[in-house]
Amino acid sequence: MTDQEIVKGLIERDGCVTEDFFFVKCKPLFCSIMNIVFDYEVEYDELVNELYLYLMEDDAIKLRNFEYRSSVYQWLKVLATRFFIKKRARMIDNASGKSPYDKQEHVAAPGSDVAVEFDMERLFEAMPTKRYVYVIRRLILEDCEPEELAREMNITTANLYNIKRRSMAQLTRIALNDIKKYGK
Amino acid sequence: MTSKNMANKEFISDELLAAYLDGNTSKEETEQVLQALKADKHLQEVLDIALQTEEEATVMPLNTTFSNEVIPMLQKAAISGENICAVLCEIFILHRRQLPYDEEWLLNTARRKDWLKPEGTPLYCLGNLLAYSGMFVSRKYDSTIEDIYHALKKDNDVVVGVDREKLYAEDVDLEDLTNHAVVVTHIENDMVTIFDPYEEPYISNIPLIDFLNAWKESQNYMIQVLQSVEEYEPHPINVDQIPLDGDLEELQEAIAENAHDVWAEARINEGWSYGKERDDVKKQNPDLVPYTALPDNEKEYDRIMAFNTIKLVKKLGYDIVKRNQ
Repeated sequence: MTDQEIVKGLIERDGCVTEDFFFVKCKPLFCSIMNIVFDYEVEYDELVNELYLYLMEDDAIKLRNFEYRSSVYQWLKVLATRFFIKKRARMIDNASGKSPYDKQEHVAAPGSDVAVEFDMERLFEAMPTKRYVYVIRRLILEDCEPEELAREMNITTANLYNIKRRSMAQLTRIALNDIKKYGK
Repeated sequence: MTSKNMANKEFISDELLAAYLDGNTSKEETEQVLQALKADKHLQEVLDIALQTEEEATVMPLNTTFSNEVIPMLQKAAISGENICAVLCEIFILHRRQLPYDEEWLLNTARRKDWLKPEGTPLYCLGNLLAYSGMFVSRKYDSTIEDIYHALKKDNDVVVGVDREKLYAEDVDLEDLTNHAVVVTHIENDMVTIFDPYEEPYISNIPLIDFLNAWKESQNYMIQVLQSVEEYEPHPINVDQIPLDGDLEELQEAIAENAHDVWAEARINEGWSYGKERDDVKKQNPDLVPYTALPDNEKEYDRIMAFNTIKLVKKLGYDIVKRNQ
């Protein structure tokens, strides 16, 4: 099933697509996210049902606005992660009597220097896999077409898709480590 | 501009963040995400979780349906060519432990005993040469990185089955399978140090995320060479999720009874006989009776063994099909 078919099925509340994709195929992903987000026991079905309602609210506006700039699975991962983090904050606020997290804005961390440029070259330097650096350079900095790069590297575009994702994961890991190390 | 306005302006949408993770953003957008990452603790947490769950994104193509996982028992832990990576890993361990060995003899032994096949070493034979050399080898599927870490901490040697192409970014990964064995020697921060007999330099550091990706293809199979037999902890393959249909459940009783008969026949051939109580000197055993006469708790033991064996056969990727009458 293509991403388009999945999104269409979800919007139209197709029972098979919803069950197969959202409730079955995404279950290991949702479980993993929950295990990381919550350090206490939570009701899986309850939270996933809430996530589903959140996804479908306002006549599935989020799905309707989805622009297919990533796989629907990657997009749902981000959406679910943010939803569970919000949910956790709300649970903590409810327990402490504070206002719900939903009403808060995403604010910059105090004392952080947002004016300082993230030096991509420095991150590239720190990445252990130079092949990944090359892929990011060609695809993102030089805007090379994936098909062209795949040909150049003598690999399939499906293979390039995996390498590209691993490259971004390594870049992000290096950036996060950098922040941890230098507090930026 | 207030910090709140600045933060709103820099808020990274789900669409943009997902596109970034998939490598589909422009240079400006990539910089925008990385810039926001520095200031936004929430974004840091989201991306950290995204990386930790990267495994799921990799292992689950959307056009496939979930089925009970089959462990890759018969995929050979080797790459094309010599196909002796597993043997070389075991020789590396003997060398590390400063034990005497003869490479040629070990290779011939592995071939003679059919542990080393033309296509390589089946996963279940990994470590046989070490065991044959008198070492205590423990095998385990569904291991975790913590298992490796703890094994290394005890100074135990660890060999794992991997998809070689996933270890090295420059390699083309045409299919997901276990085709190689490497020795893990160290884990620190986000790097895993391995000995790879087919990659120079032989000792190299692999990013943890790539290692996990490569390792998962063998269903996280590892062997560890124990320091002493006291360290042994049994790890039967988990077959809880394997369903059995009616026909196979019928087999359970037949297998249980036959297993009892096989055991009894072997004991009798060794000179054992029935006795009211077990006596190892007189070679008497109270269970040397027909299966039907066994107490229920003994029958249950055989049934559990049969039940798990049938499930294991399925988990190893085989189907049991009844011939037409």
